[in-house]
Amino acid sequence: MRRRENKIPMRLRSIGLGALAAAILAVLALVAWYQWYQAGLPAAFQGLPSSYEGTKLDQLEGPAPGFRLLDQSGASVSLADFRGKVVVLGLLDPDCTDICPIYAYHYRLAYQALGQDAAKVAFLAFNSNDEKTSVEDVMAATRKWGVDEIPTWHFLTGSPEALRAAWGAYGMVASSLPKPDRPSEKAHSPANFIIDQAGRRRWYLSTNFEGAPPLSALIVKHVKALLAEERRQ
Amino acid sequence: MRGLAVVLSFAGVLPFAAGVGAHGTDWELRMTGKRVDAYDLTVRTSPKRPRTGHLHIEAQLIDPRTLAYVEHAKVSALARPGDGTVGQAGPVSSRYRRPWHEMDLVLNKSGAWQVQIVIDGPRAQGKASFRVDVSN
Repeated sequence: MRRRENKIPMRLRSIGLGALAAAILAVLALVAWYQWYQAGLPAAFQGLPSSYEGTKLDQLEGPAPGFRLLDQSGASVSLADFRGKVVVLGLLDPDCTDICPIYAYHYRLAYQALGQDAAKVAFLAFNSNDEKTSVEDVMAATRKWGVDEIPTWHFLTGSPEALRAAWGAYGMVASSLPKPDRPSEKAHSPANFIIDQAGRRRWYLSTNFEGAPPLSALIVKHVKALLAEERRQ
Repeated sequence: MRGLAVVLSFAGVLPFAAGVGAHGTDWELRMTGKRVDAYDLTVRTSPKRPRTGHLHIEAQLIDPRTLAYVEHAKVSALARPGDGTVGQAGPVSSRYRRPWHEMDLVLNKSGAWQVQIVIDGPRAQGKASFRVDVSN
């Protein structure tokens, strides 16, 4: 049997191989980006056990990082303003349509469940979207999610630089890259800190509602424990 | 070379498979903490942009009195075309995969559908509806 001659010119073969290499590189870049995205949302694809209660941060030394930003009514707010209260601090995007509305619902639920103790708690969130930074943006989300029922709710915004400094100080991740399935939205950490009355970070909560107890239950549990600790002192 | 390309292509595809499934990111939040009798109902559907055929529904119930998921409830879903024509998908009963009650409907034509979630739990019974726009 006669061997088939290779009739593809060398130049065309080179172009073909180059295109193939470019395609492989594109796939690798896509994989790397997607893995980075998932790493930024550690709980988004992984179920958590029903025994999850958050990460205890008692070993962190020093006070929680301070900040001064504007809230949804344009008031200047700093962490020091809440000394003596327990602070629940999250990271939310006013444009987010997946996890943020559920987090906001759980803040409301926790506020309601705390009853009289709710007066000793402040609910704060950094704006994670550095392109929607106006007071109007965070007020619109506050109303849309119904968190304006919480008297101590402050959805914090500021210049992109000030916001990035605030997230960064807490190790929160907010991305300028879009979510893969929601190009109009940006990825960010599903992060919540519970800061005690003395301004120290005590718990880190990150749940994706795939198996862990409800976020509201975790908030209420830790807030009540901190308030009981204060009463014992 | 060809074999390597195939392997790399799969490596690229596999991470995205997580986003296609029910517990990935390809879903649309339909209601959040809507009070239905004594429970709060959160519902999401997948895929995010439904096409004729399969629609996956996940419903989560929370008892605001205890802040616990309601696991022992019968949850079902039913869909009717929103244009008034005769037709129905379901009802289908849920299976529970903590903390979601999961259901699957087949919506056999494009257009608006009204999906109804029916809850029958130890402390509450009720219904909630939402609209789904299905494309071809």
